[in-house]
Amino acid sequence: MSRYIATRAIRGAQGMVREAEEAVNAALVELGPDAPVAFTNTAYYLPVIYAFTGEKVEKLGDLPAIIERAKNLLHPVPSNNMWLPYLGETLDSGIATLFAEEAMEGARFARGTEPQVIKLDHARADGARFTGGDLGVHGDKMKLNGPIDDIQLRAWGIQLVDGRMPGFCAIVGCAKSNEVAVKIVRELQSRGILIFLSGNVNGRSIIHQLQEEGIQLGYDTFTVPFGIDTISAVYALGFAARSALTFGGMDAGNARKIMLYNKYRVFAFVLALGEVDDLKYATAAGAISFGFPTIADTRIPQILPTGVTTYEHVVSMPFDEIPGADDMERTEKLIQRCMEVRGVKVKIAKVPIPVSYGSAFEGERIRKDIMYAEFGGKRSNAFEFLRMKPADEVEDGKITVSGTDIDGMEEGGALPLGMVVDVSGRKMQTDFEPILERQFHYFINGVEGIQHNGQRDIAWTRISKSTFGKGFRLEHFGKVIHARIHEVFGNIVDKVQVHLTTDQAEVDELIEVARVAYAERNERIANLTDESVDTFYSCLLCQSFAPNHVCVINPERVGLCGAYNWLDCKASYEINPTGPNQPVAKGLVIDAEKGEFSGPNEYIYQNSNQAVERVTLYSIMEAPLTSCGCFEAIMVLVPEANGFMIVSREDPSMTPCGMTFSTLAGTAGGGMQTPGMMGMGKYYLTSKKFISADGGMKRIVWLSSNLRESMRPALQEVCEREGMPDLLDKIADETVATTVEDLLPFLEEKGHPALTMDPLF
Amino acid sequence: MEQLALIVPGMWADHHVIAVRGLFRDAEDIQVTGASAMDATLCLEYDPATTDPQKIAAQLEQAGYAVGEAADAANSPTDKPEWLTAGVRVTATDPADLTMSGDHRKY
Ligand code: SF4
Repeated sequence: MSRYIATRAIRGAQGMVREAEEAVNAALVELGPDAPVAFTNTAYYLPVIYAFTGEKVEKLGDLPAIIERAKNLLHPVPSNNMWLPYLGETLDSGIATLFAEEAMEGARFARGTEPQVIKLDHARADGARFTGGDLGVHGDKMKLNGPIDDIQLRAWGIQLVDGRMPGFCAIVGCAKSNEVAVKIVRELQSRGILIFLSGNVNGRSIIHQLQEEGIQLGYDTFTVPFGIDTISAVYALGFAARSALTFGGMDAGNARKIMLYNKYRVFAFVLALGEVDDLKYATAAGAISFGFPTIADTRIPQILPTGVTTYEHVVSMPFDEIPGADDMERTEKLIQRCMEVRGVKVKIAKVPIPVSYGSAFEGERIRKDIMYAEFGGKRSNAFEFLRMKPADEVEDGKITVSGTDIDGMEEGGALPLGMVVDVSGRKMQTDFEPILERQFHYFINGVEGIQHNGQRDIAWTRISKSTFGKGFRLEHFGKVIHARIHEVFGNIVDKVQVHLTTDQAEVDELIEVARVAYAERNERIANLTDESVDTFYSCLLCQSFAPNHVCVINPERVGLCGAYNWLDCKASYEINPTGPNQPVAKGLVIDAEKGEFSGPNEYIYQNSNQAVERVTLYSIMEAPLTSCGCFEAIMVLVPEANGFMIVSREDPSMTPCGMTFSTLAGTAGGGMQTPGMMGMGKYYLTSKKFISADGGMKRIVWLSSNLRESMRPALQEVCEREGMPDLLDKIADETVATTVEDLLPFLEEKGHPALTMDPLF
Repeated sequence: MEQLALIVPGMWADHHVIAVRGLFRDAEDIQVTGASAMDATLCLEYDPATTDPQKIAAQLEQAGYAVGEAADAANSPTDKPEWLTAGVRVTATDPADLTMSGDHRKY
């Protein structure tokens, strides 16, 4: 243990706690003890404090007790003549720092000065916005993100569990140059690592650097600017703490378990760019308590393995001394070292194209002003079609292009595009065609500077000027598809060939062939029922976060996250027979109406660490499926209305049961089985087996409006199938009722069927 | 323009760097050339025709960032022992930590 680091971290902690105390006291005088303290849209209060202590900070008056707790964790700096083993003291100081930083941010929120709005010295001359979501550049000002909200945390859940997002990197400070800053972000993005930005050096932050270079910041690109001081780095630890509470089902206040959970399951690390001051050391000490190491690009003392983190605790890699031909190569080595130090396992997709590639680019938006060309959308038609062919009709790696290529187009132009992908393989089945084809969206979106939407004959692709400028042409779409299909579906596909055409006549001709196949597939899927198969599938992906959670996926029900249906699981099992999707024999029918079978019961008992003994697939009231943390929506009993409400993950509003989505999800998640409460994939709503044992769609008394509107045609069909074409508009939403008192008169006025159905219990 | 380097002990973390730089952001006769939270050093250039080190120091002090001595850069509330409620504590340490700590004592 380095005395230098201990001294700096302990001193930094003292300074931070003292300043937090001053800030809280000043805010108390000014705003009073009842002034609300709340981070954006979270059910976890000030999350680090809540996770470690169980204290629910809701108002300024709650903060002095937290400051006292932080003070109790402080120690004197090591003296000059007595060198004790001060690891424990340093780690305590780290936690004290995190408490103080969070209390400080709480006081800032109370004052309305968080999330930060920063002034840009070098606003882009073209005035373009390069941020997503709420982030925005207005003139020379930019609003930063502040803490991650619960909706986003849960939306990333599935990517965290399936390995697309292997971990997160909290960058603090400022890179050697803008070029290096961009390269760091690109290296991390191409590995799917989530990036949190905070801190500054000499007043300049990596946030400034990335903004100047036109890098899209925001949730969509996995690159989130927290704030330009180190204090805001506490949001990264808040994210980690909430992962344990949300996905791990940990109880708040169980600090030790939460720290161990993070050490073993959350692959995170801190990258300190530029000089390291006392507060950075102190914050890093807090991160080390979570098991997250720090890698610095300057010369600082190192802390080698002692067991708190998995490998080294603090690693110094002075940037200019990293061997390499230039700064780009040095950056690659720096990031590679970060991966080793944290033990992050990353699968990098190697795709032979002239731009970067990775899942972090999936959310990029290509707006008109930065677009070079588009295919599909309003101005042309485009489709994607994958079909299985006999082996002798497919030449692996063959990519053909007909019609005008991108370099033959005017800037801002549009052309039709047809993409026909032929595959062959001994284990390939026609059933897998739509599964592979659906992945095109992710495969293509992974290209830097490409935005892809839709699928089948409503595909729409945009290419940015910079990606075109780097030499991206139509054949590269083929290369991406070829490489990714081999990588992801290598076990079932042996050969892949791709034909691309922008020739209108050819597109029109091939689109008709594709449409016949689309119609056949629809038919096949519609005929796929739980009764028509004797095997269901499991999904255990979420066990990496919620150890007792098991999804049983039947043909008529998607997984809670909405990302896996029965066919996906079947294909996944073929691809990886020892993977997370295993066949579950239906076995004996115990109760056909409730959907209870002996096979799923046995499987779930064995695979939930014996925590869950039985499960019914068509009921929420009796032994429902367990809920992990990444469900798309949550369904909850409203006893007064004799029905259920469904709240979508995107809906932040209050609901008739007195809780928002986040609070509800916190109650039901973490792998628990809670009768009357259940996470669900939104397309389960359209299934004939949708809580069929409890009365189906007619029991839904309240539904988030965004779900209703985005799924209106499909839901309307369900209502018609149930013989009540006007049912959808009898269901309340947050615009008409956020309390039971508002809900009941609405249901009565509309004559909602749930009110006269059999009592639920 | 004249150059000036000052020790500002209160500038011990990067949020203070932002605050200190902000003080001179719009000043035409003072330009901050460097502000380091690591060693609490502020480097600037000023126009001697309109300002001087005393005025600059006064401006800093008024904003809560008094100029100090190099030794003060390590200033911390340790000088108020009553503020530290935990005191020195004996911690069980991994023996591997002890073995390795020797290498790093030079720091
Ligand atoms: S299907 Fe279930 S277990 Fe699998 S990733 Fe989705 S929610 Fe998690």
